[in-house]
Amino acid sequence: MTKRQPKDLALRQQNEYLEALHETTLALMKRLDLADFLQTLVTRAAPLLRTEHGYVSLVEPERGGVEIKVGIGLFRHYLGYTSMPGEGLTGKVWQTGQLVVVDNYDHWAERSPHFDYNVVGAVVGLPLKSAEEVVGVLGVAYTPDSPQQFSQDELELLDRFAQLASIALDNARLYTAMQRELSQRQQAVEALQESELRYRRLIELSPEMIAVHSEGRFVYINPAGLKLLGAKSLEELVDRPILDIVHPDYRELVSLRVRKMQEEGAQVNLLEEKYLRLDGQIIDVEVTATPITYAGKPAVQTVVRDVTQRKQTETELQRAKEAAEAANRAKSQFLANMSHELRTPLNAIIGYSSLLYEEVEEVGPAEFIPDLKKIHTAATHLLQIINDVLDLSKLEAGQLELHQESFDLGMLVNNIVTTVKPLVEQKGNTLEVRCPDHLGILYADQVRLRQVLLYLLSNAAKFTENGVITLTVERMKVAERGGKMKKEGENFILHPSDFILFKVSDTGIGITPNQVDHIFQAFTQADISTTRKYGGVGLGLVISQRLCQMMGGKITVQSEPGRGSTFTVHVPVVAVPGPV
Amino acid sequence: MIKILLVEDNETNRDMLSRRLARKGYEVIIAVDGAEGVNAARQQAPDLILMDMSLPVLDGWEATRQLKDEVATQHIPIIALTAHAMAGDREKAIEAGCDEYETKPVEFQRLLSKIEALLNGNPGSYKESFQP
Repeated sequence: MTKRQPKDLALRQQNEYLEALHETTLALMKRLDLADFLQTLVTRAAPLLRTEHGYVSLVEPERGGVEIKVGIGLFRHYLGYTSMPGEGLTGKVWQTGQLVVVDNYDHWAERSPHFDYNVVGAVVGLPLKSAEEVVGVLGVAYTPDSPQQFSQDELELLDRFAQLASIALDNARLYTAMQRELSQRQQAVEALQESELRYRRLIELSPEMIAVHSEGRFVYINPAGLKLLGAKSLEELVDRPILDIVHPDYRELVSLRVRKMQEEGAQVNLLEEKYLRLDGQIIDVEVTATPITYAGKPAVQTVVRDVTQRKQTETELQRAKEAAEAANRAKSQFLANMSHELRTPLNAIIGYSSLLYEEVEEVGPAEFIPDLKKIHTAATHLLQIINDVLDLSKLEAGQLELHQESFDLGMLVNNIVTTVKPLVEQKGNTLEVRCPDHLGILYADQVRLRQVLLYLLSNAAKFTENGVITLTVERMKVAERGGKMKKEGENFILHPSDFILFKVSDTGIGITPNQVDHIFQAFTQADISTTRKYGGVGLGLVISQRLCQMMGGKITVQSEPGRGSTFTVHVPVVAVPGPV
Repeated sequence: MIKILLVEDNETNRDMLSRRLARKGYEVIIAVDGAEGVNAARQQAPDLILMDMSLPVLDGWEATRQLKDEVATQHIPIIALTAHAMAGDREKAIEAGCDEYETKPVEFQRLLSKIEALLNGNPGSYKESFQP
């Protein structure tokens, strides 16, 4: 550099600076691309101080440091170099927000330890600010071998330059941010379009009717909807009032529902309505509706399902059910009537024959007594048969109901024994009873249980002569595991899952294995000869078995022809009605 | 003589029962419907009442309730006679206030022992024990 007159030098230099400054500023203002801008910035700033070495660093908040983005001259090699706050020249400028000038970098106490020696001589750093915040650092340097120093004037001009550059930088940054946002928006728009396309396709394909209406008129109906309403094209229905396709009886209701739904802003599900197809046919529908916005206006989107078929089926089922119930009631009434009609005259026969028998015993001719007894016996027998037939009819018709209650088992057994004893002793048989004390309470149909046991005992008596008939009552505990039955000892606290076993044994004629298969069937006795000899119609066992099953139990039989038979009735302590 | 009021609408049943009771030494008064039965009970003060449950004019349950409500007739034991066609008959009889219960067709001996038990001041035991 040549020496000049201080005054001239200052003036000329100033002019040069101002010109360069002006040009640079203009140039900078035009550059909106950030990278471009930074490059221009440093390329213009360095010559202002007659050097070719400069850099621009920008603060990277994510990385917590300030990073060299562009560098010219020696700083070409330092791109990406990052300083922490306060570290080195750049760090200090960042931290202080002030211009920092160092005449001899290598001798500077605060030099960055990462920076090489003998690279930078004199250097100045200027803050680039956005509002009051430092967003970057502009650095200009001389190499160590250069004799140049920064003069005060130069530094001032540089400072002004940096300020103007700051504004320009702001612009550039804003521009970049804007570009990024635009790009993102563009992506978002594309994604939305794609999503809309998918949604649209879904609606078009849906087998359910989907429609949109706004301000009481249709704006859109999908193909399934057009088909449901009997329209050939959307044109037939678009813009038409929705109430056009609603059945007159439902129009008020639908209007009310739409209004209410829009007020509350909540979806409504599966409302039943009636629609009118374009050809006049009435269809039953199930509608789900939700408020939406369509073309900026409040609208309603509906999904409609045709339930005409289902409703028809429901109606038919209902009718069938009512018919079945009526038939059932008729059946029940018939059986009740039959019962009454049959029993009434029979009771008269039984009653009067008893009456006569008793009177004759007291006063009358003794010869009449056997005849009267026979009438009484026959009538009683007939009553039994009638009762059996009626019971079986009821069972077959599913009309027989169990009447369950809690009762003392011991008392039941006593009662049965008292009733059946005379019958048993008639044929020279003895009745043995093995029944523990304090058996406990049973919950079952007492009447029916008595019926079963009396039947088995009288049957045993019928087929045995001068023998022994034994009634054994036991409690059986159901084992915890595997549900297998196993006997228990003396503990008689009944558990609901326990069973009571009634065993009726006789020493009578017994039943052959072949016959065992049939005895539980209606209308068969063991064989015809037994019927002749012992009488009976053969309903008792069937009825007894069914009754036991209804109570959740069963009857089993063991027999040896010529030796005798044992019938075992299993009844749960708490009878739970089972299938017949 | 012990007076038994028999409230029964069926002629045959009435005939049979009253004759047998008479032969056993009881004085038998007859009523053919519920209303008549209530009146007879009030006016004639029987020692025991045999009440058929299904009666015309006033049914047996209602008649029983009325009699059990009135001070004059409360103490008279009532044996309900019912056909036991329906499952709930027994409950109804108990609820109405009957002291004992017999199903038709009546087993005469059994009925006699119940009558004797009630007349001797034994309370109706059927509520706890079994009675078919």
